[in-house]
Amino acid sequence: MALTETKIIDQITVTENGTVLYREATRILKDGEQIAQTYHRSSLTPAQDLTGQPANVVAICNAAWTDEVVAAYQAQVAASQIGTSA
Amino acid sequence: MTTTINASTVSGLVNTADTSGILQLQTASTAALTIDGSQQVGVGTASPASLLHVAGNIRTSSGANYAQFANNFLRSNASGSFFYDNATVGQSNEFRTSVSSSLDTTALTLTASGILALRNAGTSATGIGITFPATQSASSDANTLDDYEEGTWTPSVGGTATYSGQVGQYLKIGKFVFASFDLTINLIGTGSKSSITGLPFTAGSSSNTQAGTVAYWSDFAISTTSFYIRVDSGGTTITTASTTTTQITVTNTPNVLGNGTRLIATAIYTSNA
Repeated sequence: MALTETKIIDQITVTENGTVLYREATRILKDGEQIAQTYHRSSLTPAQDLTGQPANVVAICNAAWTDEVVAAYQAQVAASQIGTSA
Repeated sequence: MTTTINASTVSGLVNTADTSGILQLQTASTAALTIDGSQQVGVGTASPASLLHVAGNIRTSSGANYAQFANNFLRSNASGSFFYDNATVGQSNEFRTSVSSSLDTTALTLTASGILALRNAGTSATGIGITFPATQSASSDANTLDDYEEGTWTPSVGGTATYSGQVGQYLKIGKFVFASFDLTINLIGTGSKSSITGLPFTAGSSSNTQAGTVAYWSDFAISTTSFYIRVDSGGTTITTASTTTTQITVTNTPNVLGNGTRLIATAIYTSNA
């Protein structure tokens, strides 16, 4: 019996406002058959620092985050704020 | 007049002299039973397409009946219960539907261990339960539950902040997301002092600002009498608000997060899908 663990980014989604969501699946295999799986999700907003992010995610962020997307996202964030700032 | 065909040998009536044609029994000038040249038997049809082809209903009428397909049975018992028994150890039952004229697709799988897996869902889960597809197939119907997922996420204040604790768990049921976290900032650096990023799903773009619950805080950068978190529409960021005294309106995005701050809270919101 051989137990192995693999990690793979099995899902990358770019939402309409440019936010990039990705999911890392950790799979436990017993003799090649998957017996368990857990997920870890992350989200990245336009213009966010990408240090330490997986290369395939960085590539998608760089493609999706045009100047127009970043500006539109920042405008959306500003518009969605309620109340007064400290 | 009644005519009876009697077997002429002890072996019984074994064949017809017409080896290229059919053997057919009729009543009221209508074919009731037909055996064609390929030994296919038709009941109610003169053109059987299978080894046994019944053009009409089939009835068994004793208390407990079954039809057997290799190791599998369709069965009823004396009290009227009906069963599909899969007697092959470890094998799943698949319910297939046609999505085109030439393709059957598994719509539902019931595994031997009791997992009910919807179309495209994995069947390797342990325990007993309902498994949704790993990648959601979103429904626009208001009465359809289309997703379930649990996992972890990493809360962050960004910048150069460092942490001594940084864990989060999420649970998504349909559009509903519970994202809890326990965040302890070591050094805030250039990190945000008022917001936390990294939520696992984007809040619905057409939803209102949605709230969360705060379980615990310690070592805020400023004295605080009450503290709130929220998720704004279309975002993946937790925004904060607080009061430092009796106030008519909370202070939005206060600079409460700092060196040594610990915050335990849960964001509760609906996602886009």
